[in-house]
Amino acid sequence: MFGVLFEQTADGQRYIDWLLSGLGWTLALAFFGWWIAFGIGVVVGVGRTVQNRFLAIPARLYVEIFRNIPVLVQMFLWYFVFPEVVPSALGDAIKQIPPPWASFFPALLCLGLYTASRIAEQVRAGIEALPRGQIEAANALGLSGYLTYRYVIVPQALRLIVPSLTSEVMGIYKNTSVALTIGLMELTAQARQISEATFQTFTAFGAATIIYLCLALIAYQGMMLIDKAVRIPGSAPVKLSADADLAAEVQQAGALPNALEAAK
Amino acid sequence: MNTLDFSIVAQSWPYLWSGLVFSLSLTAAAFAIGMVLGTCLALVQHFEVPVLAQVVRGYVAVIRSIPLILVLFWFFFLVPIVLGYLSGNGRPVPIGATFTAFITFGLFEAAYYSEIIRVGLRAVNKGQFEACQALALSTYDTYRHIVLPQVLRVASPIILSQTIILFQDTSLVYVLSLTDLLGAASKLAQLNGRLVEMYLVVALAYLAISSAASQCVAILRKRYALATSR
Amino acid sequence: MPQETVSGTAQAAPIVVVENVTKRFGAFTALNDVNLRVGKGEKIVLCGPSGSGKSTLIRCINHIEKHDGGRIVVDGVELSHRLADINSVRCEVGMVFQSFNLFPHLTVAENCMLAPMKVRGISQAEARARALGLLRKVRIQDQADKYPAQLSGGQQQRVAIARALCMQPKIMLFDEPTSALDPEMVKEVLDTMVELAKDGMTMVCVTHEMGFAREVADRVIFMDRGCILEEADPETFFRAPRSERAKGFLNQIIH
Repeated sequence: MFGVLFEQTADGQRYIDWLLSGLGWTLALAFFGWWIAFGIGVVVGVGRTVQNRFLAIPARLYVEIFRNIPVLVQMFLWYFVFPEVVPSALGDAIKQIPPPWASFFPALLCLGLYTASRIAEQVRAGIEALPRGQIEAANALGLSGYLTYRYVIVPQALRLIVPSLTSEVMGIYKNTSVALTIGLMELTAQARQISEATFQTFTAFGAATIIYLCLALIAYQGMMLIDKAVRIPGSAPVKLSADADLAAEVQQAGALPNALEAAK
Repeated sequence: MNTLDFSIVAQSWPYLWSGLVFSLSLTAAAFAIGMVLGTCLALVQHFEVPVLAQVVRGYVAVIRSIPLILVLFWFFFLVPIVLGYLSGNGRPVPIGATFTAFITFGLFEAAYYSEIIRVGLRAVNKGQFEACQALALSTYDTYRHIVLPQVLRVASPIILSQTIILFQDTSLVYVLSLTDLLGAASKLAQLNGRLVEMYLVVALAYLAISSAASQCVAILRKRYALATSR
Repeated sequence: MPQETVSGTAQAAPIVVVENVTKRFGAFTALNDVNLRVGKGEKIVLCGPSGSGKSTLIRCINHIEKHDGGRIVVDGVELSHRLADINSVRCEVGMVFQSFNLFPHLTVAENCMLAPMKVRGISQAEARARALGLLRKVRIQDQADKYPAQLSGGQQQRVAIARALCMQPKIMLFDEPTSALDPEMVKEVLDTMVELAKDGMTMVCVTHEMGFAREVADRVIFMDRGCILEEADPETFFRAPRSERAKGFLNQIIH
């Protein structure tokens, strides 16, 4: 059934090359977007928990704005609107960027900043779940606010939220498909293109679906490994609040073993 | 940088409004279908119905692992074929993008809601089941009157958060060229060339609706936390 | 020890001065016009029923709770709300908590090394040598590279004592250090504290361990409802408590 993927395309490649090139863009977008998101997410998440208003209010605004506008709309804002509202010299420079990158960079920025707002909320939940005594002990030892966050709070909070970050990893690679609306030929776009070129819709979408399932499996397994690697010896995982715990479990559940069964 | 002119937005207000109404109806319909179907899917898994439970697990896992846009493409392609097959004459039934969108979002969200409810079902205290048995309640009554109400109560903040995400996700019907809020703005923008104003207004509209809804969820969460701490 | 000598030392070189301190939590008054002087090398045991303000008092001494009124001076530095003052005071004041509050993601040695390295700025090698030395002192050196969750409660509390000592504090505060422990582990922690007392450390301990109070305390202070009701050497306090409340309290903890 997947034979058509190995047929020649009009441009002398095989259809599977289209798919693989799409996968490449998807992975690049997800990978680099993730690190942007993680970096900003941790900073903003910490900002949500500090007393200082000059940090807490911008952090809160960041989360509110980026979490409450659909990814697709944000994609359009970065792609269509951003070059128009910055000084025209910069805007013109942006418009000079050649094709795949002209879509890639706005998509990267969009997914990175959007996912950061979601990670920030996870980080905040992780920090708020820590026992109060940890901060008191750090204070009693004379650690400053920065040192307390750097060495005591953030390392523990990040360990706590590894399971719920799994869903953010899966979220960002799924959201890469939104980049097709601004012309990036990522995996879903390539599948659609193959379907239109060959009329083998079932094969084209089927192949893309299987690739996405594999990515889900890899993401899940990878996060399990990380969870195991950073688990503190001798300790049971600390529970988040019942409500957040349920949410984390919901996000985490269903990827696997269900994904395994589906792949059978 | 051109000067912004928002009067264009005021002129096109009725069209944008109809787009918003479409977005909201799609959200409401997907919520209704998704919750009913999602509860069924969760119960099928919860009771380990032979074969069916495996099928449902596979369905939920696949839906949750692939992008919604791909799901939309799948359904756009599959639904007419399946309907043709069901109607007996074997020929695909063209049903249009709007109908496809309603079916897709309903079935897609069912997978997400079912996962929330399934985990919620597991979280119900064993003592509740024992109490029901002691009162000789039937399984149906136990779930209908005792278990499900508790699950829905515990899970309501998460269900509502998911619904806010659903509302935002409805903007993806853009890929089916439908006229939801974003679709309306995009079509107007192509006509009048006022991309910047149109997309900014749409972004603000989504922001206002979603964050108002998020505030409600936050209040609900707080109230729930109070109720359980007593 | 005669009363005059005790207050004499306190006045000669008070390392902690608490004057007219009040602290409220909403409508609840946790500390009501409390005065206390702690001399260098003095060992003080604070006791009283729960809610009497004894924990709040020592938590105010290193500013984990902010006092609302009055003055607290530690080692010549007044605890204002200036961060620099607070941190410099905290470096000189070690604190041991009821619930240990070890950092679970760091090994025992790392728990002891963190603050000396980051706050005092000593080298890693020196911090580790100091940590191992103090862990030996609390007889737990062979557990240095384990994580807190792999230790028993008594061991964890001894690590917490070593961690505080690694900052080379001038005074140690103990907030019910044995209350969260299983009975068989209380002794190992108390033994460590007795040794510390014999080394001449200035100590303020909130505890109900009356054996410990008899053995090491220069003064026992009885608090109730946010006030200091009684202050005496342990023999006097245990043999002839003056207030009715202290009598009632002693009856309760003895039986």
